[in-house]
Amino acid sequence: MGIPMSEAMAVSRYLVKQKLQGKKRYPLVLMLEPLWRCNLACVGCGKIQHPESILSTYLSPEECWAAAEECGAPVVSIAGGEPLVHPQIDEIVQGLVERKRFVHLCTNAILLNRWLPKLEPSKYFTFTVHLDGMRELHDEMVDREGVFDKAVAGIREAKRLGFRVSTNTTVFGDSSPEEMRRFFNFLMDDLKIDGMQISPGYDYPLAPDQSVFLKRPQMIQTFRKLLTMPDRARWRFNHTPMFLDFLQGKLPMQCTAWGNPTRTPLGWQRPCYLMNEGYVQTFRELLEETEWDRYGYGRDARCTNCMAHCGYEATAVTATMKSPFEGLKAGMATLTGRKSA
Amino acid sequence: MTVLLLAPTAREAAALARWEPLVCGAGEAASRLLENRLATARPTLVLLAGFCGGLDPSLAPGSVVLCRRVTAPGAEEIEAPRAQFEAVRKALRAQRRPFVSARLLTTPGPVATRAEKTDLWNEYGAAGVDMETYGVAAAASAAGVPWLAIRAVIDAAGTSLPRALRSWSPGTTDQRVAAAALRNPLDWPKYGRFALHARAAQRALRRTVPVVLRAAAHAALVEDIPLVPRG
Ligand code: SF4
Ligand code: SF4
Repeated sequence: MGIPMSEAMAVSRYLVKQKLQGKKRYPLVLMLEPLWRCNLACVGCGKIQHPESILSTYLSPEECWAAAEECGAPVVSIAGGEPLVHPQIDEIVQGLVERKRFVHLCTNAILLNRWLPKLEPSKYFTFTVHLDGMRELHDEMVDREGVFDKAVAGIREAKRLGFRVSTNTTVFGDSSPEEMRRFFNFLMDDLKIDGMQISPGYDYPLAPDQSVFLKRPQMIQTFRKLLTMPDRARWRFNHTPMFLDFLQGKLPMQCTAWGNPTRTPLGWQRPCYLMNEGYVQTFRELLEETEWDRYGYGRDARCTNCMAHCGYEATAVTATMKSPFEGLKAGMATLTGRKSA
Repeated sequence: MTVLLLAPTAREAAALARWEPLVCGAGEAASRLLENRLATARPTLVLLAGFCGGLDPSLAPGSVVLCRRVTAPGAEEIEAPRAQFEAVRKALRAQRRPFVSARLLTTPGPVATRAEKTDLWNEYGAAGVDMETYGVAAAASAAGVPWLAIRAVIDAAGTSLPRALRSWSPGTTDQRVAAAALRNPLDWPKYGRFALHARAAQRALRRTVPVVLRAAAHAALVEDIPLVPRG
């Protein structure tokens, strides 16, 4: 299945609780960036442009756990930088799992083999491996040869040891739907991964190569082609059906960036994971003092091409909860992991 | 300071009766009327206030949109004048008025269905759609007069207009709409909801426009805001 049932149930319970408490804004997924250092320099990455002094700043395990407690989101996505470069990543993961957070560790998998013996499989823990396509395309996107083979070997080993593994694929301008189709079939049939995430490329204001990113109507076209292919029925996505409809332009949605707050080595990043308008030191300040209505599609020029799950998946989850039919569809998709309508 | 307050229809003007808006007509009529006015009068600000259809799915009926820029199919976007826009945005925020500052889209006719709204949202990323803002902004800009537009959402993004309103045009009378509505009893709940939403939008305009007028006056460091006399 895509999202494990236990995780779906925990998120549903959490959402009902927030609703009963009458909260207007609440976090769903904590985007935890314990460091920005990375062992790659991917085309289009906006995270690794910081000066050396900042790249050398890492959050301690205690700071990571405190962020999870302060924010309270049921899911923690550990990103970066490359989390496996952090010397205490095993402690960070273990502490979060002990706090019953569903942890998704987003990695390029280069160092996966080094950490597998130090981490334990758990229903609370998933590796999310960044793979943008088959060998040639992926190695081109990460700007280094051999990374695809290393990641694939790491995934096979992690699966063999009983870990949950999913993938995260950014859809770029030069990834053709046909190429993606073959790639997704490979992930499902050959690697037998537990679920896939897809993300449209976002043009980071800091990214060196802006030409690789799709523009919104193009993104919608690409996702329409991709998600209406007959093979779609075989693909398990870690997304709600509503988010997939949104990617295909069938459902209008507005960004709810507070659903995925971002904790970085410099503090809580405003307003979102992708855009940086400064940092605040507490989650409360972030939630209560950010002018949220200034951000989103049609409101800020930098949001024009953003359809990323860190802005829209929380919108989709909340909308799913509001509609019994969509809730049923999402429930079916969780059970089968596949397209339910 | 003189503010020329415009409202496209009598229904929108009714919400703002205290400030004696000029009913400028819907669609192209608004820009034609403004061009004529600006040939003889020179207000320090043109403020267009009225309803809009919601395209941004997060906006419920009665939500307020302060126009940051306006676009129209095949036309170049026009940005609201920075100083006036910022003064009003800050004032609304200071008064804790709920609003978004966003792009508006102007189309020649009403946007009636949920599917049309979704397509326009995907293509333009405009919070709301109306029939006048672009023409008014273009006429004011051409005359070198600053302009602002404030709109209250009447029909939200996820909804379609009741059938009799889908082919609404500036010449459509209330009687014609009522007669068409009477012929479709199944649609009556929709008309009821629409009437409630219209009231929410009127209320929102009534609460927001005075803040906008005060902020605009402040921006020009002028105390009172006489309107350009009619006629
Ligand atoms: S692996 Fe991730 S953080 Fe590292 S360079 Fe690539 S995109 Fe950036
Ligand atoms: S749309 Fe939302 S998530 Fe995307 S860049 Fe804008 S604020 Fe961030």
